[in-house]
Amino acid sequence: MSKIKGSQLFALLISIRIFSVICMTDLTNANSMAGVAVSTAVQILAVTPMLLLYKDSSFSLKKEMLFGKFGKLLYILFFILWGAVSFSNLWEVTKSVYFPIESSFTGAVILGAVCVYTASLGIKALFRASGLIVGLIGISLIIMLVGAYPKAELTHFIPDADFSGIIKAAVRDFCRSGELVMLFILCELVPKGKRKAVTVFFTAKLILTELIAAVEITVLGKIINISDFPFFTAGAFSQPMSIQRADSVYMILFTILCVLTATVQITLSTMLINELLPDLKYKSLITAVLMLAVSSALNITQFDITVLSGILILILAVAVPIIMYIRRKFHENKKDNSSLTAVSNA
Amino acid sequence: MKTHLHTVPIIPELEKNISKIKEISGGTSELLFNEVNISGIHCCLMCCEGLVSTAVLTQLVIKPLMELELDSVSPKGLLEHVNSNMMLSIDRPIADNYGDMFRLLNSGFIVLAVDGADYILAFGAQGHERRGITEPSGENNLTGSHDGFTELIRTNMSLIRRRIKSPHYVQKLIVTGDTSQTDICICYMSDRVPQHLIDRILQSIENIKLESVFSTGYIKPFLEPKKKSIFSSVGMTERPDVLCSKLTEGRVAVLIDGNPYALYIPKLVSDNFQTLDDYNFKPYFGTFIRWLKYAAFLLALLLPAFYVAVAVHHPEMLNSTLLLILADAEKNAPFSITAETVGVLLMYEIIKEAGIRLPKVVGGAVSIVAGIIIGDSAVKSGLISTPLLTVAAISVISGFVMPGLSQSISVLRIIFVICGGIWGLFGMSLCASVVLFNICSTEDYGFPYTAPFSPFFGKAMGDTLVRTGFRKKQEQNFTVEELHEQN
Repeated sequence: MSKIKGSQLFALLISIRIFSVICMTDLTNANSMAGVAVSTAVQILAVTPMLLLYKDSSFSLKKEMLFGKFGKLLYILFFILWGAVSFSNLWEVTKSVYFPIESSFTGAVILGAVCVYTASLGIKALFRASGLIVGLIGISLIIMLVGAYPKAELTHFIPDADFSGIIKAAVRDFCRSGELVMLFILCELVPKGKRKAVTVFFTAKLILTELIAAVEITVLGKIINISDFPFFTAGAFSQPMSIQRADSVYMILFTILCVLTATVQITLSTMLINELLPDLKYKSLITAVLMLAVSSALNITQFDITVLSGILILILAVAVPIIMYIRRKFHENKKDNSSLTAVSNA
Repeated sequence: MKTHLHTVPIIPELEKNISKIKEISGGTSELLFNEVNISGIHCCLMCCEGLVSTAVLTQLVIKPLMELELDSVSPKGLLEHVNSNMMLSIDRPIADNYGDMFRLLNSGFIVLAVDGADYILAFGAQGHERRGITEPSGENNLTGSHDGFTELIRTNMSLIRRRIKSPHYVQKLIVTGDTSQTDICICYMSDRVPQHLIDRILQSIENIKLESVFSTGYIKPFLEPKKKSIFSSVGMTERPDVLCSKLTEGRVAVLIDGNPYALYIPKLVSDNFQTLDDYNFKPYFGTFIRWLKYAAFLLALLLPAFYVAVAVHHPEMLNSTLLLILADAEKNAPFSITAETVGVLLMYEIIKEAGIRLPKVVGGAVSIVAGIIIGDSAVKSGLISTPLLTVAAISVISGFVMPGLSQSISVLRIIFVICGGIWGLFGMSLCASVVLFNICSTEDYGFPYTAPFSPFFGKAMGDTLVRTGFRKKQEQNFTVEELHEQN
């Protein structure tokens, strides 16, 4: 299996996170920003068992009994769902922001085809690409900040007295943190520097989310509440150069991040399907088609998956590692006791 | 490379031996046989006309041999005496089969066959016509050396050896191609390249089952990964100084006889943006030039597509003045902007191809026809708009900055234009994603093409993102092995 650097893991996770932030519609006030901070703190606590598991060099996800067929299937379903959310995001954005495509579905199909190809290039290509995409994110954010600076009004930044909003925002943000599940699977590929990568990821995640939220709030003011996608509207409002509008430029970042996010889901699903059904052909294609189908269903039914994804994240990224950790500790104690008994008998 | 002739032993009887040689060679005219008596033994001196130096043949081989007087010597004793006691040439290989013998003959050796001996003795006396060392035509430099590789592998080997005198520098000759039996030289620094990499490269070359190898293009696919990559992960240069710098970085070079280009492995994406002049200029200027090249790459690849995408789908990105200029220019154009751009780019590729293939005397005429007749009249007649022609020209000129990427850029540029024309920036982004992932998947022998950018390797940034001075560089001792990715 390919070995990945900690910095590459960070790049991939932060890229996926930025895509979520771009698609967020409710980062509209200081309370939601505080909610993100609370959620990040909770997430750090949530990934601790995962990191403790991987701290033990002998731990391998593949060998764990709990991670059997049912477990794998659950993870596959989660990745398909998360991939479908990426396609749905494209679907939603194309409805609000001008995309030169005939229909949202056509756009999603074209994007799906691209993702099938990019997923076929392997996980190493994915990690390397994310490293370069982080550079693109950096450049885009600099352009956004430069453009936003003259437009930003700090007076728009008024905290809400309703503190329950913070809790709601924190829960919502947690439910959107699918990268925690990906982290659990991807950590297996990173032999060194996991803890550093995770620490840097959470720090960068918090800073960048808050930064983008601050730009959106200060640039848009009250308009943010009627804006479908504040990131794109903020982009349209902040003009770094003497061009009339610049929001189309952020379409490039959005599309590339969408491809990356969907590719990650397809790759991870394919990886797990390969363990369940090694003889199955066209795994990437099947996964992409399933994602598109789920995405279409979500759009037709207008089903809000926030709660469902939250529950799945809790099970797959928090509960499973905790159970695995307890089981390992229990087995270790049992082993120690039996060896002690053997020594005393001897 | 072994052929069936390698299994046929030399016939000791000279008459039969000569007949056999004539039979195998089909009575080819340039093979010369000189039957003589040396110390009373019937011998034959053979050589290929045009491949040996006549002066060496007569003065250093024939004359001493004819003056040789040995008493009661056996045929093998005669050959042993000539080989051990007479220094007729530095290179004196022995062959006991017709495969090796013909290879020596056809490589410009003089072959001495003695009646009664079941092997032959050869003397290196190559003296064929060759092109002198001239300035490379494809990789011009202002301040670098002015010598380039030639078609002769030995000359090329010496050009490198003159620059790297370290005993760790190794040049290994192997032969490939059943018919052409081409000499291939693997060059590397034994203290900087791991043996497993050398073994893998040698294995790749040994796996070549081609009948003949006439240029680098025959070998390249066997050194590249099987995955279909847009950009080549095997580098090519015709400059010995450039190759030497690559060798000292721990890369492996492959020289091919009959070709004035050397291949090197691995090639990184950053190599396309480095020239030897960068290292002769002040570091700040070297860095400035490097950044210009990165910008030129983006312009060459994306500018026409961006123009089409913005003009067709995202006019809101332009300010009113630019928009009016564009609208005014395009209102009379008979074709869509996408078709117009693709047409202009294809026309440029045709003109370029014609310019390369035509004799130099006609080249000037092509420039006149292309520049004045096609360019000027197309704009005046309204077939092509002036802004589009300007954009295409900027893009094409930018592409000249990185000659190593010209093939990929030519094709990708047109694909980007089509995607930009159909789906605007969304299409361009999808196309960019495909290219990005493809580049990222490219690797050769475990060296990622995108290194040191991704995976990021800070130490190498001093020679990629910027060009640091040699004072700083001398402390780094960088080799590409540091970029090797674990599997």
